[in-house]
Amino acid sequence: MESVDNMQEKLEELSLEANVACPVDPFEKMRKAFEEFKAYFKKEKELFDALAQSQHPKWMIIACSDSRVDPALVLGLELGEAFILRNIASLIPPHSKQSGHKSGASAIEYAVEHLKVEHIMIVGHSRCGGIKALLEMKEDGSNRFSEYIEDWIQIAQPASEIAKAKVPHDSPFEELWTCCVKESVNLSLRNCMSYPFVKIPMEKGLLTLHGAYFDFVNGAFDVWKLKCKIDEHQSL
Amino acid sequence: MHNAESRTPAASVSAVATEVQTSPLERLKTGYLKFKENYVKDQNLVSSLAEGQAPPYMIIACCDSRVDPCTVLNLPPGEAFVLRNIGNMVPAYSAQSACSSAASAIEYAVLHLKVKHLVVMGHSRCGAVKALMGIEDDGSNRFSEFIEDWVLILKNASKKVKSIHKVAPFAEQCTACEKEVVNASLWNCLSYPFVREKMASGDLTLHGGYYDFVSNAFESWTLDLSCLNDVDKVQ
Repeated sequence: MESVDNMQEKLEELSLEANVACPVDPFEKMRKAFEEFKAYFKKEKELFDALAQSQHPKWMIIACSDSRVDPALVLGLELGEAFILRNIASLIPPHSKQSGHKSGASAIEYAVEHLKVEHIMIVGHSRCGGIKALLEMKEDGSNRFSEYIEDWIQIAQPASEIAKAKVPHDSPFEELWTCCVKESVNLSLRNCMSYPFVKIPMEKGLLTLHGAYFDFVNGAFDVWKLKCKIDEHQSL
Repeated sequence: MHNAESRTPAASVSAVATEVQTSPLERLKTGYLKFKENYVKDQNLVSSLAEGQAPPYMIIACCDSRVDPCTVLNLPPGEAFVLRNIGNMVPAYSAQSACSSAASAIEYAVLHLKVKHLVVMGHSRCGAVKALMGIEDDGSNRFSEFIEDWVLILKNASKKVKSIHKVAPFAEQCTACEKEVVNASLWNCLSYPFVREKMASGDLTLHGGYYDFVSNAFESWTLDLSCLNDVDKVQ
């Protein structure tokens, strides 16, 4: 890990080399877009006054960071409707006190315990780069290409095994890819359930978990529910 | 496309909210069909995105339902690779960062997608920052299993704000911390060697952003390595 002194030196080198001024202001487009948004904000005063005080989204959506699958755009959601977590391949690791994975767990805990969302949806999508990398990973790690990406994506390793067992060996890669994305969504849903603060409201019927697959190649959006039910006890 | 003209007005939103109570999935279906109707009008975009993505931006934003960056900044599909967590926080580079959602996303965006701009976007009334600011030093008021552990990755931001704004009201301290968290996250982005390399070669610029939905304003600033205070307000 870099010491502070090293970092300071490196930053000084960078400031000499980099010459930070950009020829074209990258924010120009965003500034214009925000001006449009501001006009909409002014128009919907009642809505935004309420949102300024607090948020009460009914949905938590977990989606991939992929630029093509923003869930608010794709599902036409208004601001205030969905609390949204995004990471590579929309992965949720299982509950574990020793885990270093706090970003997903903390977001879910906040959404369920504090915002009291009623639905969690995990959205996978076509042509997911993260899942492709997972499927191409060699067991012995001999084709490792990244510092962090493989460590993150291996959360979905069980889904890769299920997909490889389900899909015939001679099928086109696209079929295995699609299957693995859907199995990864199911795995993340089951991992969600491993958090007591998810399981308890689910069992009481206060929280529903949904899986989804957004196919932007063929223009489809499939959804399914994860059902969790404890039957009435019966005496033997 | 999802633009100002196609947004549902407030009256319809409250009608839609009622619909959610009876049929939550119907709400999503209506939204999706509208998106699809607009999306398929641009077949060139549809075909090119089916093949791959080349977003110029990576945006790190909060999960807060009020701050969807693509909505606020009108970014269509394909424009921004987006990481969202509570508090828009980026932990520092560390060999122990294995299995880090932020590290993997930044690595993928910078080295594989070759984004040109990395933006960390903070916002007003952030619950995660409020939680961070409210944590007692001795941890005696711990209220969660994971939330405190997550927000404490930027505990130095909260310490700095508390020492600079000692006598300010809590709400003002939180606002200062929301912006300090953006700068601290940018600083942590810089701690990744692959980020520094791309900045040195002029291929990547780091930016801070702050969306204030109380006063309806968006500030943005570019990370100038000699001076971190170059702020440009859009009023």
